[in-house]
Amino acid sequence: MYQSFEINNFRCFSQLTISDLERVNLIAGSNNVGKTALLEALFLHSGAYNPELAIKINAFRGIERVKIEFGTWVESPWGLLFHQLDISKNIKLIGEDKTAGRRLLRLKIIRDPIELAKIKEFLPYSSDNSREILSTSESAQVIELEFEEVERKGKYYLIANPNGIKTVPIPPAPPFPAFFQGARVRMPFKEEAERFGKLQLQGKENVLLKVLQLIEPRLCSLKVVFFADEPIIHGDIGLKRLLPLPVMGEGMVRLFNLLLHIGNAPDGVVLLDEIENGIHHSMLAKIWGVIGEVAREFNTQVFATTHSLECIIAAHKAFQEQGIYDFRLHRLDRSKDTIKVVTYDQEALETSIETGLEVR
Amino acid sequence: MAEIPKEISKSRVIIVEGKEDELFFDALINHLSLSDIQVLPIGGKRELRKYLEALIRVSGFDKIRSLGIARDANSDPRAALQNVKDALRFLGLPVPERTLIPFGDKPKVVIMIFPDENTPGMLEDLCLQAVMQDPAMFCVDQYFQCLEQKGVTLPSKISKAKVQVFLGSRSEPGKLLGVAAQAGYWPFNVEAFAQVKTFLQIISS
Repeated sequence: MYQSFEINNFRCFSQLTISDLERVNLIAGSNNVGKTALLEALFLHSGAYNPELAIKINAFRGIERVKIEFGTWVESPWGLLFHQLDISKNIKLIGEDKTAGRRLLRLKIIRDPIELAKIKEFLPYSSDNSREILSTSESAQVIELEFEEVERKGKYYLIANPNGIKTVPIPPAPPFPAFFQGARVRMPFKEEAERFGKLQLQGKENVLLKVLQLIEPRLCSLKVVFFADEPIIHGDIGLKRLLPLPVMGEGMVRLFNLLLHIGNAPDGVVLLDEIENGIHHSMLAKIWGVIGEVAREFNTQVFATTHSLECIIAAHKAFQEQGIYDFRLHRLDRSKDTIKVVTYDQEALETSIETGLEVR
Repeated sequence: MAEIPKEISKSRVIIVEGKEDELFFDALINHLSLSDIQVLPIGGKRELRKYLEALIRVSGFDKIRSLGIARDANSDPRAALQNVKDALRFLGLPVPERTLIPFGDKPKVVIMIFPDENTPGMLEDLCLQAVMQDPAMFCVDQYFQCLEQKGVTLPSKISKAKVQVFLGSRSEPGKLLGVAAQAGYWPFNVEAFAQVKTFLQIISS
């Protein structure tokens, strides 16, 4: 579980340190202050050894494809990840973890021919390459991921060349699972069914059912049904037939996805962008209560963003009522060119809410 | 409808104890034609330290130029001043040694104790001093003397009770201290309010 996290030269952050992290962390702040970027940085860091995540995180913002052009003069496809698009400075992410200790991740774009020559064994210009080289200046686009942990360090490369994109050497699995749920991106049906299946195998599907009953009390069971070749979760609410979950509403799907993430990330991290989307304010306190319970049961750490004061108040009340206040509110504030974090513990948040001071 | 959460909207902020103090200060600020001063009430019996811990987290706190803290002396003016100083020190904010003597920068901090730093009492005492010459005050005092003679136990906070009785003599009775200030029932141009005006001018300068 992260205790603190430091970001350098990533997206809108020149430097940011967020401390006093708890099991459940809610991130507030105005538009374009870096809430989603913070989740992306955590996602990259959680992936530990896999530079491919640098491409994946763009998909969380709806940019599904990256156009990669080759040539020494062209823009790097990963330039948007770097603060002020300055690829000459490295991205540095440092996490302090309760059990694993400190892990540093450094991402840099390699364009210098001397540095590229050092990793030429990984550049797959093999003799059977039939693709015609069209320009003498064509070269691979390479991003280097260097990690340093308590007892080991190493490097992995993401290489994009005219033959495709690959990561070398093959990175090991990360030390713990991490899931990202975007604000507007929903989990594909197949993935949803697979993750539901994993929970069923562990006999944990009742946890899901109990929570979804908060929104739909008539729900008595969940089943995977193949519909037009897609495995779609259906619910039984006592009608003549089962209903597909999406028909029961956006809130049901969001909550279901969220719980699938937490349940499938034991000892890991779940990142949720704009958590309140699709959920009625009257349900928020109950849902936060459940998030707390499930996160504790699976030992999962949760980071969620919000713009909603109702969501913040609901979370505070839910954790206060549970008697285990493993919750923090962190607000990102922009001051001129820098972004800083303001963290609210239980007492500060309680006083702010009672006295009507703005916390968002 | 729930109140809109308070943001720091001005570069000079005064923290007061309750809603009536807020209304009183707003009226006096208006009377003095001062601008760019925001009055924030702590509310209830909340500790100043806890309120300051929340306030320093509000976006824009670092842009405050002057921070004023006004509170009642109650039974012990020295303890009241010490309480404010302890809270400021705990939060790492500038700590003035005495009332009405500003200290520090970013923000400049000023403390005001009602009625003053040597006298037990509260804002109500200041208001009663201000209307001492008002003919109604003779009747107010007589009323309480009468109660005493009749063996009625007087309220522990007698000045609060006197303010209520005095305000009962105005053209629109029933107002509380702050609303009365807004209605112009406290004569801001008398000597009794000199210190609180000085306090506001220090904040404003």
